Amino acid sequence: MTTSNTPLTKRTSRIRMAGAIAAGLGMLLASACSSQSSSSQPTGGAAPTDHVLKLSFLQDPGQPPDPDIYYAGQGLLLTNNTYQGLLQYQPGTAQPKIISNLATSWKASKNNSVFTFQLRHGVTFHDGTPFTSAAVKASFDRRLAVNSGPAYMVQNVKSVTAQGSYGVTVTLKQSNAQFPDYMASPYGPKMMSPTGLAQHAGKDHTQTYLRTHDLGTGPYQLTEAKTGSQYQLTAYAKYWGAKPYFTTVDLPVVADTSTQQLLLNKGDLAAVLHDLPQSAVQSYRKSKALKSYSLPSMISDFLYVNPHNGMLANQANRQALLQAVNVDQIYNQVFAGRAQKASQAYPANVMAPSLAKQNIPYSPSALQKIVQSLPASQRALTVGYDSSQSDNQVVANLLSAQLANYGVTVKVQSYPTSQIFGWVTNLQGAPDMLLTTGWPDAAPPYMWAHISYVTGGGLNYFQCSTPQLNKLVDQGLSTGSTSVFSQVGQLAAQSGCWDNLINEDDFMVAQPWLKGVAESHVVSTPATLNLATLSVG
Amino acid sequence: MLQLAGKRLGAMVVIILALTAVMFGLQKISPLDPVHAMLGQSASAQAVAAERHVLGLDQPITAQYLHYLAGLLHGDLGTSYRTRNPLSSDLGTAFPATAELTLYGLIFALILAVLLAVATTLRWPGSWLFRLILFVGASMPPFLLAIGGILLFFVNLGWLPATGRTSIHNPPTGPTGLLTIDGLLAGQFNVVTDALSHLLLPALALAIGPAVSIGRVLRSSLVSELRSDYARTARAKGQRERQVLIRHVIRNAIGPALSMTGLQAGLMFGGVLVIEQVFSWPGMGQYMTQSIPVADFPAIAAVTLVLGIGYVLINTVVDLLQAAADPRIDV
Repeated sequence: MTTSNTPLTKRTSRIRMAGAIAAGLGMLLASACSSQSSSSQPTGGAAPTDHVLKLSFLQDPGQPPDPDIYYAGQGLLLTNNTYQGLLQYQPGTAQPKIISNLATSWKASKNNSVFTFQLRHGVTFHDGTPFTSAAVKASFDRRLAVNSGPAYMVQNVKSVTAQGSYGVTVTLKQSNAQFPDYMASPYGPKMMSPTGLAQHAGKDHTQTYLRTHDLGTGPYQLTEAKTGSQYQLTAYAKYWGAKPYFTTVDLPVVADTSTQQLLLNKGDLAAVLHDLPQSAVQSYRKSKALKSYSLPSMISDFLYVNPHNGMLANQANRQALLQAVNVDQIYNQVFAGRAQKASQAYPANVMAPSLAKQNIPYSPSALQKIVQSLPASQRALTVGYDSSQSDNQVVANLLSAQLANYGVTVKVQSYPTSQIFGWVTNLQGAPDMLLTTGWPDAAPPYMWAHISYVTGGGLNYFQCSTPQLNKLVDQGLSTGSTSVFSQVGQLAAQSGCWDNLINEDDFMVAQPWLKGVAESHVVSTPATLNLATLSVG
Repeated sequence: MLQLAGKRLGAMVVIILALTAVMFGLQKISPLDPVHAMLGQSASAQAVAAERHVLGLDQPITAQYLHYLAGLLHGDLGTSYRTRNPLSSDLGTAFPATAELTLYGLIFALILAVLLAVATTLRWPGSWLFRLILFVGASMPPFLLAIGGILLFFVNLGWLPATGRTSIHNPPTGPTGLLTIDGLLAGQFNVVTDALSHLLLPALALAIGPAVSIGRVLRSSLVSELRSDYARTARAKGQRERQVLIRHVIRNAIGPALSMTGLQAGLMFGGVLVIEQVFSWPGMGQYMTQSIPVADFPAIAAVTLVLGIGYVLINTVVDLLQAAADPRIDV
């Protein structure tokens, strides 16, 4: 008979115990893994009874929630629910139709240089100041004084004249048929309390105050703004329109997309309005516990070709390159179910589908012939993508594989947004091709043409110059003629510098109890909803 | 002691000069364009030029550098291109968040390290299991540990929150910026418990790697010291192993572990970047992550400076503690 405390028995016992523990750890890990898969099969959550809506930002909006400064994406949720412009685009429709907002009606002169607005009665700003014609000039002046990205929308204003307390005439220096669209744009001039602007002016035109407060007329007030951490909107008790169902909207900053999805799946968030990766999109489209929305937008995924680099300096070569891109494959593997293949040179919903056709058929044979005739040293191309756009990383890799089939040696490289913007003035270090997603500031085709296709435009990253196109855009500015802009689009496509690959939808996922999502979405305003028209049901 | 303080102050000045010079050098050769990123694609050339002038970016790099150093002397770190806030204000919020997370991470790491070292040295029952768990945890990348923690304790068990510093709106914001301490000082114990529940997962995820490193060094020292003559003498006088360890050995063995703690604390400031990202912790790591893509150089420089100074300070404290533990060490 052996005793139980011999070294051999101790060792055997330890080995057994270690085995048991290892098995336990394995089960724990398996439990975590299974919970990961179960987290992709969301359980959702019950509707809130406290009238608090919980949404989130992925990363921080990045700029202050000041409508004269904010010029990016997801933060439009703050600026467009706290401030209002004179006009707006109708929500819940793919067709961008301008409707009244703080102006009840408007009239343009024949040459589109004088605009008269009748203003809404009974509106107050969040600081209690009544909304009158005095606010229009003060708001335009403030935008000019701040002189940030969206200031261009009022730089052409010659004078703003009050016609009594509820009428205003805006005279432009130069005719502009798009001016009402500027007023309706999510980035357009918003009305701010002139009293508040004067009271908190400081030395920076109220910029410091508006980092943490608002001076708008919208259905919600900004009641908390902690950069990188938390934002909160609270319903404005004296709002002129219908009272919102949700009295509070909490907007924590969630830095990681996986964590954001976990919160949504567990019911801790009512919806995710932006930046879901393709794997999550596919999973949510199949989900029965959550409701997904592919809403009409003006977001497009463009391929830019650099006309200053090697073989691509030749227009025929650029066209051949674009024809070698298998857009069907890109659509199926990256965007299926939340986008459409693009056929126009403009983002979707900007003009009638029959206009501005790109006519870039899939035909790789031309590129194959060109590449075979080139010396090996000229067959190498770099495909760049915006490092903040995970979808475009996948597209760049697909494109690389496609072009490799035709003898091109492709290098894929990411670039930060700030570097991409710099190429507009200095092309040093720019790649041969760039994949990037964007949308116009407002609906008219001019808004896309003048920044993307015109020489010196802010999105004309590779400085592609087409003199005839520049003249046409100038002509279209005063008339707003769609046929002119259709021609502009065709010229842009023919240049071989641009290819609109995909028209993306605004993909959102929400708890099934959240009502009014599609009706609260505006085609020109990505990643945003009109919160006042959301409810529970 | 004064000599040490003087040396370290000198080192800090050299580090600040070196870091700022490197930052400005990088800014000069960088292809990033912060002004375009700030103003957006539709900003007119005139607006871009005006903003460049306002930010002083149209001046020669040497003038910009001297201006920056002059500002630093007055405690002015500059203004963030992204948030438009003074950096002292932005970092005034982000730094305490990182400091609190790192502090608790370090406390957890030290507790686990001492337990690991003492338990395995004295061969406590089950110590091998404790070691196994820690080693498995330490062998995993911090982000995996963090995600695993969220899946287990937030999604499956629902015991702990997954994101942020607190669920309470408008918690006390001073005087330290550390919610657990400010909550105590303000008598708001709900803030303290809520902050602790938010801290637990990220601090543990941060602590496990350093705990194993410090624990292993401490254990090695303990084992070596326990074999020494003075330990043998103490045993011969009838003291039990635990008494020998606590009364005589720990003080002599703690030096290398303190050095390792200083090193790990410095590294934790780097590791916290990933942890903050996963747990949406509004600290300097997350702030830095958002500043880099938009070329917010003043913000990047300020965070780099704070981390550099923090590293020097931590190592100074460690040196002082080493001297206190073993007076033979000349600081």
